[in-house]
Amino acid sequence: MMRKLCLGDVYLNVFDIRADLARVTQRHISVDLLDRFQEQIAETVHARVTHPFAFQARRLTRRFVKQENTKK
Amino acid sequence: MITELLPEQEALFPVYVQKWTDIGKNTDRLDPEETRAIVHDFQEIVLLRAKTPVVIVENPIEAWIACNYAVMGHAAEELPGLLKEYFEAEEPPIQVASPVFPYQEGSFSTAIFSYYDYILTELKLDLGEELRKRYEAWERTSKLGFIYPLDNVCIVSQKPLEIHTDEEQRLHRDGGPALTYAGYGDFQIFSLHGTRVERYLAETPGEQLDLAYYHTLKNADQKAEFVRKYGVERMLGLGKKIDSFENYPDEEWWQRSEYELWDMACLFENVPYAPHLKMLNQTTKIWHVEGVSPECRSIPQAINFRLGGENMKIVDIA
Repeated sequence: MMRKLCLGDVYLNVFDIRADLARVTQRHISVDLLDRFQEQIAETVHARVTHPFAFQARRLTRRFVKQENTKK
Repeated sequence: MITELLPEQEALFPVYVQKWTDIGKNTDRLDPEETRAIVHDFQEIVLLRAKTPVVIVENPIEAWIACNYAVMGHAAEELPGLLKEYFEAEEPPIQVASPVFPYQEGSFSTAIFSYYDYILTELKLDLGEELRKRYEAWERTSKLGFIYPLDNVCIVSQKPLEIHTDEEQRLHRDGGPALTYAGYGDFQIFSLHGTRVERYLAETPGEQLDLAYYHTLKNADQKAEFVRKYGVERMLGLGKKIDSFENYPDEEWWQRSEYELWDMACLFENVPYAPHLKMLNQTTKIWHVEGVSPECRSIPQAINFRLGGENMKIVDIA
């Protein structure tokens, strides 16, 4: 299914941007500072939004499909 | 190389946290024209693929079912009708594959964008034209819901209709779903203070909660939410106090946690003795009531049981 959906390519293309962004940022900003941005900005947003909302939405989608397929 | 921040740059951390938290919690309905433009940029600039038709559905469940139909070869314009048919049928018309996620979750992917937004805006980092264009095309997807860019169609979910949080920004709603999507599949998430709970615990008023339900809970956080809602004193009022922190004046942390051992046998059938330890969580400041071994007749024994048989003395809590 993953291959048919070509979602692996999506992940890789986005990963390419992330790798390029990491290269540029690490060239100009110290790793200590980047770690602070990660901990104090990104991880706070992750804990408030990405983790609770996306995680639960994925979980609920999986549960729904599992329940549906037991009906067949 | 930037190694230090100015105080005014550092002071902006919470501003970016709030900005991207707000984007993550945004529930505006998608504008079809803007959605198409964002998706087409994402496909062409980030994914290096051709543009496709864009289908907007109501929630991630609908998105996944639509993906399955698309992979079967159905055209974009057929998908809304097929979704209706799927959800209104008595038996699911197709076997749906286990969900695969592209991790392009639009407004929920804000953590990564908060990081780069701060760096690019406040430190004025020059990415170069090509990388900046790719990044901005990617960042604009934060206006959308879940995104499934397939080869022949891109399926995009609307954002939730409602998202409720408590003062600490945790997913929370007492009395209803904390997160709700429109559409098929009854997509609702029930959560109390960030702990996912069943509909019953979220919706039932505290005074109507049935104690029998408490015993069906296995998760300590869910139990804590039950106790918080039911009322710890009301719950313990049904039992009998066996031991109290007041009997151990030299134990500073037992005093702070206000440990008490209660026999809650009244809650069970055919159980002569059911010791429970009541304590105030020093981090969250909420009361917990946890069952301990029937061999526990005192607070030291109950704490020893909770620590897996080890006699540890609490000197501090991080």
